Amino acid sequence: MTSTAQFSNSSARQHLHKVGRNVHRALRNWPFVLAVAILLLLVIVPLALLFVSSLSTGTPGNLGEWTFDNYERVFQTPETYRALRNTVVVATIGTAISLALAVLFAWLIERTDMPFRNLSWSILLLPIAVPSILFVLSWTVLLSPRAGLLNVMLRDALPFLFAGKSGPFQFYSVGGVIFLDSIRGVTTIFLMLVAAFRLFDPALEEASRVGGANTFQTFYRVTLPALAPAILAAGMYSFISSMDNFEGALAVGLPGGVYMLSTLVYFTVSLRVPVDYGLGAVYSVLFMGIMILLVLAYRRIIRHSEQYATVSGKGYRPSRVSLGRWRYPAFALVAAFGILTVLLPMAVMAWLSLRPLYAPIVLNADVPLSLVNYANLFNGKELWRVTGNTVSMTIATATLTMALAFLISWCIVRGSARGRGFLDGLTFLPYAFPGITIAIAMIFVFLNPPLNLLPVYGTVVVLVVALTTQYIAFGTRLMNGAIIQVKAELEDAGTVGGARPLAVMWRITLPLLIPAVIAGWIWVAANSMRSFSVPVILASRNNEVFASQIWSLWQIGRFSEAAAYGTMLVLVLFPMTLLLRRLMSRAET
Amino acid sequence: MSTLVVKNLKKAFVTEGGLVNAVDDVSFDIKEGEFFTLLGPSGCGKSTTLRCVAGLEHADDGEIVIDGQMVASRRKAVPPNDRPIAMVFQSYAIWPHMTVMGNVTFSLSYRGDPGTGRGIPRSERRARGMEALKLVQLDHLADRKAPYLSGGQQQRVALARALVVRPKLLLLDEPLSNLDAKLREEMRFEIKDLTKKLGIATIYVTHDQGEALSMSDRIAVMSDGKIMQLGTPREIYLAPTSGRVARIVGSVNLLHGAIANRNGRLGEVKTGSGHLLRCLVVGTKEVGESVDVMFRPELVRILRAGDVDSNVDGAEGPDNILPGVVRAVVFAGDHIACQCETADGIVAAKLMPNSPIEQGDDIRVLISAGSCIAS
Ligand SMILES: Nc1ncnc2c1ncn2[C@@H]1O[C@H](COP(=O)(O)OP(=O)(O)OP(=O)(O)O)[C@@H](O)[C@H]1O
Ligand SMILES: [Mg+2]
Repeated sequence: MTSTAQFSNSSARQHLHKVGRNVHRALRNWPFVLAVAILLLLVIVPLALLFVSSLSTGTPGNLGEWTFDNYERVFQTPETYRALRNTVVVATIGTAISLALAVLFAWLIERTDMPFRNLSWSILLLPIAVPSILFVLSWTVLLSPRAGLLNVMLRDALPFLFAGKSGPFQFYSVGGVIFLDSIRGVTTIFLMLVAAFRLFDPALEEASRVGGANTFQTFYRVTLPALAPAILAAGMYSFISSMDNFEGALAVGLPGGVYMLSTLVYFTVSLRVPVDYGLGAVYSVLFMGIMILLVLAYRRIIRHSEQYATVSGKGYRPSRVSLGRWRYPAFALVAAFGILTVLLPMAVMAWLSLRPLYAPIVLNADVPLSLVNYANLFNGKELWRVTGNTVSMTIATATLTMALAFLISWCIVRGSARGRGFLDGLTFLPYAFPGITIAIAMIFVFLNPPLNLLPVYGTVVVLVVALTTQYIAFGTRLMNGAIIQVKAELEDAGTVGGARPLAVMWRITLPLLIPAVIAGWIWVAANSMRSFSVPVILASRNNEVFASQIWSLWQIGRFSEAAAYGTMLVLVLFPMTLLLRRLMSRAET
Repeated sequence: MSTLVVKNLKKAFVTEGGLVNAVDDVSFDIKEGEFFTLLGPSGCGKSTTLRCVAGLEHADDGEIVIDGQMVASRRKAVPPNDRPIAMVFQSYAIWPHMTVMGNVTFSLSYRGDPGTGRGIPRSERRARGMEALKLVQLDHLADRKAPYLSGGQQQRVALARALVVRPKLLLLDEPLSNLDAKLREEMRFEIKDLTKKLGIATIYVTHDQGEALSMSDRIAVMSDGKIMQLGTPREIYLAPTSGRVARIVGSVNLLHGAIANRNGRLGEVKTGSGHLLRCLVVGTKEVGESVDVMFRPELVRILRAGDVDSNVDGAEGPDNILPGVVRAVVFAGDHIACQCETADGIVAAKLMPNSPIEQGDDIRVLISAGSCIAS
């Protein structure tokens, strides 16, 4: 090296050479290119359009001028700050309660001698089979301040205590939303924690017992701190989904005038007259901004928790903590949870569905119960149309999501280091998209050029695209885990054996992943059927699915029909959920 | 013609700790039917070299020519599926969703017959698979599901899967490391016999010196991504060119000293305590420069006080002599390992199991000049 000029010249040439080779490699690497392209379309385009719209005067399809006016209006409205505060309060308290319950349940089921543990597992899992909207609506039937069945019962039973025409439970309030959110959140956290509790090395607890601590001291001073990272991660995840809470905020918050971020967005683009898309876009952007920060924090936490080596598969002996006389009370607690989340709401729904249409909802033995609502539905056309839409939406979403997830994960896990980080980040982003903002983004995407040329707005296709965006994060996470477990050498052996990369993917990787793909497919399918915000916001005459149908019937007072739809939906979701548990527990062993 | 030529191969990985030069300017070539071994400690770049030859890694620089065909260079990288190779992986990589036969015949639907260059018809594949399974004596398990195989059987299936395509070049990445000790010994000879019988050039990667020495025609000793020495097992074992190589190929005694005089390959080294050791001097070191003197424990002899040895006690024996005391004796069955303290440090010796040596004996350590290497 004689001069620096010469050096930099040659290194520049080398660099060019490298770039050329990288481009060449990337083109040969078409799965990667395809994965990135699809993700950009699904994730970045909606995000960008929302952002542009938040800075525009116009409406979707006609954006108009650039302006900061929308932001100004948002920041000057006190409603904004109130909604933000409500959202944070609900998410914080709700998560704290669900976290405490979930930790307790996970410990009881995996680490103690509580009776009926297998049944308890199912009890904890079954809330998944009850769509949030049904759960929430049932509870309004039970607790709405004036006509709520429980409120009425209490007022009748104890007139001297509870005078007046409403209460004692003022359900349409922040407290009501918190109540629903906290018991709804338990299952997710439980599922995230239960493996950590199962694999937890019992020797740690035994050492504490030998050291003189009793059962509860051991739980509090050894088990809990050792699992803290996992618990923190699950809590954070749950906090993020609570921020996203829409059903409770809509059915319980709004009637009481309690706005949350999700309902504020909904109100602005759907209920308000006239609707204000600019404002809605700003709320969506803010909402997403907050969520992105939370998701980034969440990623940091899980990176940490993965390093924490408290959980070991080794030396596992099923030595369980003895609860003594607390064994049955412990199970009673689990049973109570099951009653509040599944049994009671579903009983209400089933009961409603058997009552005559338009009969006032009171506990009254005179009202005859019959299957006439079902008969009417089965004889009409609507049920079949809605079923067709729901089935095609569900199958398309689950298939598309899992196919994409497989492709993307394959690139993430087997790809080069740099591409991997980029893709991984892109797939994590949708965790930060509240369902409601994805739905609104879809309005902008499909009503603005160039995609407004496709005649898909208002069809099931839009729902599929929105839901796929929402579930792709989950799908890739699941497939990442599965592909990592397929040793790279198994694929290398195929390549060396003469097969091209695609043949290797098809004949080796995919067959090995079938169990994970099926589990993921069912998960996405079940979630698509339960999804609410997307179908409701994007609802039109042509794409009604069960969830949006239930909501629109409910709003026009056809409670019994809505309940019949809901009951049928749950009847499909129950077996799916149990099947999912089967598949997941098999995948774990 | 060489079956494989590797020229100036380089491969670096970007890791969180910075750049790792896994393969750093490696060159070698393999003749037709030769059994060639890459030997070196964990992480020295053996697998990476092998994977570059297979095409599973893209070399940063350098050339690879297999059977006269350039498969990797600056401008070109032939994918693994188009290279005339076969490979056995460390984990065997037996596909669990297929039968034994499915595993073995997999490649036949992609690779043609190397003789005719044509594809192999479906009807013939099973017969070919059977043939390959017979080579490894597993024909009776052809239709068993792959997960229901023992470790040794999986290893044989992996071998059959590689041999079925009749490759020009067979790549073996520590194929025996997952087997138990006894099976490992048996398989050494089986693998060598098979490749010799079929006349396939083989690269064998291992960190086990015993395997390398007993199986190979030639060995390349690697360390930190570089080839330290390349030669026949005897050359490598008896005349290592550096202390590092000597240690990689077996256990070794090292004494420090400085060259007192040198006459071509022969020379004398003065140790710290003033002893003159006659040695073979390798390398370019001059008189006065400090060197390491290496010799193997099994080439050391021990004389107890009163023992007479014609070589030493004769007029002018060729052996070097270091007086010392036995500090430790370990009886290991087929030999006795003994540690002797001398003025220049501890010398390890490997003695016949029936030698009457005891801890505390005053002894003389004898090393012939031909087994002392100074470098
Ligand atoms: N894909 C990779 N990414 C980053 N570093 C790697 C990668 N593969 C290998 N290395 C590094 O390159 C070096 C050489 O690795 P290699 O696998 O070739 O070693 P080896 O000699 O085969 O060792 P072993 O006997 O343990 O198999 C090591 O330091 C390793 O950490
Ligand atoms: Mg290796």
